[in-house]
Amino acid sequence: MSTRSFLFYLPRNSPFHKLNPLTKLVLVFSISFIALIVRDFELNFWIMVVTFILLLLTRVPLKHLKTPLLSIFFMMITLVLMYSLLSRVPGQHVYIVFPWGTYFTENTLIYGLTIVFRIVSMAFATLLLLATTKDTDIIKGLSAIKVPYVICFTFSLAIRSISMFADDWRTILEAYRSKGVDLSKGNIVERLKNYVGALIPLVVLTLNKVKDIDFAAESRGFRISGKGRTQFEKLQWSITDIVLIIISIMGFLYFYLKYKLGLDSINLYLFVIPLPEIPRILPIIYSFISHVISFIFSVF
Amino acid sequence: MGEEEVRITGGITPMHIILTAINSGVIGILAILGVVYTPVVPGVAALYPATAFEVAFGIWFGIWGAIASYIGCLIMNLYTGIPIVFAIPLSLSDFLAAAIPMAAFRLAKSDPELKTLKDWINYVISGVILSSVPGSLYYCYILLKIGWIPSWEAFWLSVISWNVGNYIVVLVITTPLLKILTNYVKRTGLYVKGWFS
Repeated sequence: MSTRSFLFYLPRNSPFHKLNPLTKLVLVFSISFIALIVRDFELNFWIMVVTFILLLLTRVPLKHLKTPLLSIFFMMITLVLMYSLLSRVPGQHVYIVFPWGTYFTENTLIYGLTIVFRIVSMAFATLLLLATTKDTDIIKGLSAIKVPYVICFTFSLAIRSISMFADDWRTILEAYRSKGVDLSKGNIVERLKNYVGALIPLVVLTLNKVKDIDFAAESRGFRISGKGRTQFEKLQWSITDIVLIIISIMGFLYFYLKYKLGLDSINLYLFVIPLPEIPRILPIIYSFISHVISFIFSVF
Repeated sequence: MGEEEVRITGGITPMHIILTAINSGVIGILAILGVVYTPVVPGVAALYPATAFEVAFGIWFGIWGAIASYIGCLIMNLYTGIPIVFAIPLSLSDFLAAAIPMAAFRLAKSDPELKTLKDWINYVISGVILSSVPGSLYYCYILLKIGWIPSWEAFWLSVISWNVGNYIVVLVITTPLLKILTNYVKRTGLYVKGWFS
């Protein structure tokens, strides 16, 4: 059976591939909201590292995720540049004041990098879902939580049609090239004008496809409501799914209580549960590095 | 085939759903090309060819063109690594880009073939100038609030580059699309005269 998918799915024998898509969806939302709640530089860094390790555990080669990873990398560079040149993060020392009124302090990079770590964690979490889940399974998952059939159908057909149009677009461009037409000639406006000639057949092909699919769907008794439809495959739940959902929800609650509401313990009237501290690792690394450096200096 | 062969359907049919889905694919692929090749800030492109189709689809296909714009943008956001929790609300910006000319053409009863001066004025104001303004303000404001855009200076830089890029794209691509293809779209029976059908 074909596993072609426009999104980043690659079949692998990893624990993530075996999970129910809804479990992965809960995990993605949990990581994303935790990254949003936490404003601490170090914690955000570790959330990013943990999410990246989870992504590696999917056994999907990073090469396969080249497009989004490049986009994420570009995002990181742009954000750091924007924070360096166009921000007003308060600090003790103002190093540079730019003519347009923004300035660079000792906290600018820290704050910018915290935002970068936060976004990258969320993006890795999204990739974790998309790399291990077929688009059809995502739709099945949405269907299982009672998202209306018409939405699931539209989204599913939209994702599938992208590969179709990518192929059509390539064919049209090749046809132009075979006639010796260079669409990339001239300045940006001229190039756009050149592309109009190629976009018109794309629209015509699109509209013809709509008619074909419409006739096929209607001739098979397709109904928008989806009433009376049965599922060939049902989503399976395992113990791992349930455990992971509980961990995701508990993790989210922990960070929400501690960092959003500022609670150190939960008072349940009958007893008080203290929230555990997450060990700080960066100071340990700093201390280790400084010990190593002082040792080297003492030896030489 | 003449213009009198325009198919008029009484309500929402499977055709509208299929039209939405397939158009989402076209917008999705063009949006990805724009964001990957001419990025400004995450999810914002200097040249965004998808917007040309969003305006045309909004005018031709009514609300279905606007929904297709939303789904196409959502797919682009996911494909380029924008986190899912942000992709869902941020994609509303592209819905607005199609919804504004859609509403303007239906309220003013303008002809998408741009036959009269009134049609042209409506197209330039709603399709070229106004279509991307609310969406860009909305999208960039959310990015500002969540820290992806660090200051108001960066906010205005992003909004201006977004709008200038879109003006060029819509003028150069949407105008010939409307002039050349409107008659064809009407003949296929896929044209949506009202808001929904």
